[in-house]
Amino acid sequence: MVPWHVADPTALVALGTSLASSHPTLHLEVSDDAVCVWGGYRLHDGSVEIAVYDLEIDLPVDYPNSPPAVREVGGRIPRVPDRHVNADGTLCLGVPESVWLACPNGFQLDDFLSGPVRGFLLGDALVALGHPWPSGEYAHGSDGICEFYVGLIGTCDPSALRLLAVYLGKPWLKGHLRCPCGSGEPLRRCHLDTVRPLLGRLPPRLVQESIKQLHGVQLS
Amino acid sequence: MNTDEYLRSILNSQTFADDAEELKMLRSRRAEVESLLRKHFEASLPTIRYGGSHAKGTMIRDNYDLDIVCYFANDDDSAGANIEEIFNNTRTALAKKYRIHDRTCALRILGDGAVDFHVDVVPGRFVDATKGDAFLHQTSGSKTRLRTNLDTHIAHVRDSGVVDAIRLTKLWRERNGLSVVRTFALELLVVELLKRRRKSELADQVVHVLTELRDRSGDLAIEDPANPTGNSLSELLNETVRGRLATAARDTLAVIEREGWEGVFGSTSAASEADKVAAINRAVSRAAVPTRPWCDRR
Repeated sequence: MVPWHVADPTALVALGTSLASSHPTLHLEVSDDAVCVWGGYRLHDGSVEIAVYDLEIDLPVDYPNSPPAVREVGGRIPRVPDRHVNADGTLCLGVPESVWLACPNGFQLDDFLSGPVRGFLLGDALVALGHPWPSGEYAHGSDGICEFYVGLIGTCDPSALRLLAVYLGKPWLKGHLRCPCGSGEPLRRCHLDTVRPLLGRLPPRLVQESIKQLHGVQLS
Repeated sequence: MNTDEYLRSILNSQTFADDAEELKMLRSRRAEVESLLRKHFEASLPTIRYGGSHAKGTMIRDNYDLDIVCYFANDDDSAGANIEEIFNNTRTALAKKYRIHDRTCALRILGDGAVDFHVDVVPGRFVDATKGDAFLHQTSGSKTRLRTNLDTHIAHVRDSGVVDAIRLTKLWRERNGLSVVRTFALELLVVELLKRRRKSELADQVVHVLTELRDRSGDLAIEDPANPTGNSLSELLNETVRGRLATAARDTLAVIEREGWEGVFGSTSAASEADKVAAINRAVSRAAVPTRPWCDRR
């Protein structure tokens, strides 16, 4: 795949301009095959300065079509599971599906920073001050993935998720289709308003990967 | 408020009052560490004192820590036969109470859950009975032992006449995510770059530093004032560090031109912890999609 910034150099220029305006302490570093944004991410609310986090953000080859990887490199966040940071400093912004749903229009850097990244760092800043995560936290590992799907459609049963993955691959969902939650009801009398908005926002492969992680089952 | 007043306000906001809780905590932690070390090394009489930004007068609120040096007498083998043993034995002593993270020449002490206490302990051994120069152990780099002098370092920075510019540059480093740049290197750079500009206005000093970083990053050189020929500081200014300094300096000079100094350093008031908590909760309540973190491991 041709890296995005090679395929469209004007997009790289636009990104630089946007960063200079909205995040002047974040800087662009470009190599032949990769773009990294690094620097101090300023966490504030109006005139109240909360914290500055040293970040390195690797933009994927297909930016802005998939989420960037974000690392905290200043040592502000202890590398312990309860702070949701991996040993290499990458931030565990959320169950992957939740990160995708938080960026319905793609992963343009401004939206990504002001959405999942800001949300995570606000929570971390509060935890650093001795308070719990403000919106709660998912359990680690597959338990957290299960929590996510139970919250979404009431179950994390593999057959339910398989059906959900199938539906997410469709261009449209008709209301008479069986609801994936396992209620036996048609979608229109069950989770239609939850599932239909996921079309085009949640790639089926994410659900398939979750099935594999939850149940060790490879979707054929 | 003119530029100089604004920058001085920024510096004031970064200065701890003598009775600040953070300083009280650091003093308390120092007393705790000193007591632990003296008890562990009761056969010795190590010199335990402040080093780093506290001694040099360059501490800033945005990123503060306390360096505590623990130097043993040149003829004292009870703490270890060589400097590496002294380093390891000091780690052992501190590990009785803290979690320890090794740094290049220091031991960072952490609490439960890897909570950072902002304290580094630097073990060393004096070179001779004058208790001037000391040997330190290096955990990385081409040499495992370096020779240095704490008083020389402190005086070089504290008496440079450009402490305010150093503090502003440190703050600039924090705000721009330049954690690859070691404090020691940054201090030496600023002192070197401003050696003929000590009487300049503060804003002009900082602009000069940034301009040099932007335009001459490849040529910049620093020397350890305590051991200029013996200690190579080239790794502190490697290609990555120079590149990032140049990039950040370029972007910052553009911000100054476009928005003025407030675009660089922001508000002059430091938020209290209560203010921060309130601000975080406000921001979270306004979020369209609440964030719940998750880690793919147990």
